[in-house]
Amino acid sequence: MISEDRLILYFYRDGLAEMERQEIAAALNQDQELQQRYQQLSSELQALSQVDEVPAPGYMAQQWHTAISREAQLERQKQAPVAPQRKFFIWGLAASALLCLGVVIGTLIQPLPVAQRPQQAEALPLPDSSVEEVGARSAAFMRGMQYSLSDQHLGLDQLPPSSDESYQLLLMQIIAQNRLIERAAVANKAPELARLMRAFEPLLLKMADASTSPEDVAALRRQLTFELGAMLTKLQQTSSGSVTEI
Amino acid sequence: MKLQLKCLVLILATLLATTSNAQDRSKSGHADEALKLAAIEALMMAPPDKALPVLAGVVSGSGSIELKSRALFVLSQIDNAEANAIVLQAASSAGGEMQTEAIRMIGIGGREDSIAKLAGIYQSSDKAAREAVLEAYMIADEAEAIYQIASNAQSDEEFEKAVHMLGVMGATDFIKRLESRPGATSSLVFSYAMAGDTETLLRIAGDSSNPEAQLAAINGLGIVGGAQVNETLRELYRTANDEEVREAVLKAMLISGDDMGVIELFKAATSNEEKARLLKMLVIMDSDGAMEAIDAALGGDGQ
Repeated sequence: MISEDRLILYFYRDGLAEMERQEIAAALNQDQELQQRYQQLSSELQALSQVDEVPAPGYMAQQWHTAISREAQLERQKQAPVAPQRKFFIWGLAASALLCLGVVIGTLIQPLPVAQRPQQAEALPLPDSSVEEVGARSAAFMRGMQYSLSDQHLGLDQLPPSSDESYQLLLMQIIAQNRLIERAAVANKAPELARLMRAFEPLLLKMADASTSPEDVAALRRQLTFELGAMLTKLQQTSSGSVTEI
Repeated sequence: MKLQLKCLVLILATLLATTSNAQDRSKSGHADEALKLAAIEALMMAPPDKALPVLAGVVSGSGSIELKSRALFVLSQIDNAEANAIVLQAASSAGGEMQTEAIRMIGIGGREDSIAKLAGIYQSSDKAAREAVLEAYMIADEAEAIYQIASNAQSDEEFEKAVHMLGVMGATDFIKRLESRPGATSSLVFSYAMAGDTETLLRIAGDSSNPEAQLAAINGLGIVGGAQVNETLRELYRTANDEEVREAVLKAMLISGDDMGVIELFKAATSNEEKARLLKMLVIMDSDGAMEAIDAALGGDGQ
């Protein structure tokens, strides 16, 4: 059984040795079910590449540039191949974030105009929908949100210590993911989620700030984890139609 | 189901009300705190009328700021006047971290009546709380309210903080409305950069009638980056007569990471002094092309 992660790597022609690539190619030739899975995955990944970019604020872009440059410099300094496990981990994290965002952005967003946010998606007229269709989309959106927030929760849990060289890069990925979730929430008329995502950004940026002490970073992480967890609880309640209205 | 919820609230209330003595606390303080935090999170599932008294008790109790802050968060998620009043009370008068957290929760809660109270809190509070109000407006996507603060700002610092927040929000329409404020251009330019408003930055960068704004806009272009900006910066470098402008352009190219552009300028440079300056920049940028340029400067003697 070839895992989805390996198929993703195969699709992107990255992170697999030549022999592994050949194995997968052979399996694809022989296994029709696998072939179908791969085709489905390929179309999802291709759709992702067509997702509109969300311009990040300049200060954030500058921080990304710095983080990426630092990472690139470290890679050059090492002058040795990256340990496969670590490379796979970082790539896998990015890929899973992308996949997750693909679910949210590519499948669930119905772009709507947002005043004062010119950089966001332009409105597209929605076809007339029945109440059931709207309800189904809304339920799908909430499930997508639960998935995205769980992923972010996991990302926070798995963040290495702030002294680790990959810390900033991973944090920037979480920030980017956060912005996209905010965008999805705005487009799907889920203002409470959008507000929470906007509230997270200053905290995440403080975590990324090198001058923030490890104790403060830990406190911020606890706060984010709590608020994210609480919102997940609320979403789960909403989707399961629970009695309470908190 | 109701009985289960009642039991849950009762257990949580008991848990949160429990205060161990000092000796116990020293032994199991962390465990206690973690349990209490978990209890507060569990209150998200409880009916508001049951959760409210427990959360109110935590907010007014002697627990840690962290615990109170979590309780405020849960309160901000309850659509109830009493819960709202507790958060507002803390936002108006709690002082310190508790106050700033409560203000943030008003932003997250997004209730119109509470958001409307933020203007009064802003007027009567200290610097930290004012900054928290700006952030709460950002969270609630209330650019108009921030614009009002900026346009009525009594000091440059207050103005800059408000404009900065508008930049974070990408609210360029509001930023443009503030251009008439004397001496405001530099801080506005930075906000345009944060908002990624390349068009406005290009306009200001090409206008030498206000040198201070021009230099700030060039710097801002570097922050925004991108192919169009890179091309503009290269052209600006080639055509500028002012040395200060060229220096600013080079810094902007450094910020945007356009080492290919610097190499292009290096190849076209006519004086040794300029080549040396560009070469230095390439080395600072850690460009792969730096060695090639060094080799060219040495005329092949380096091999």
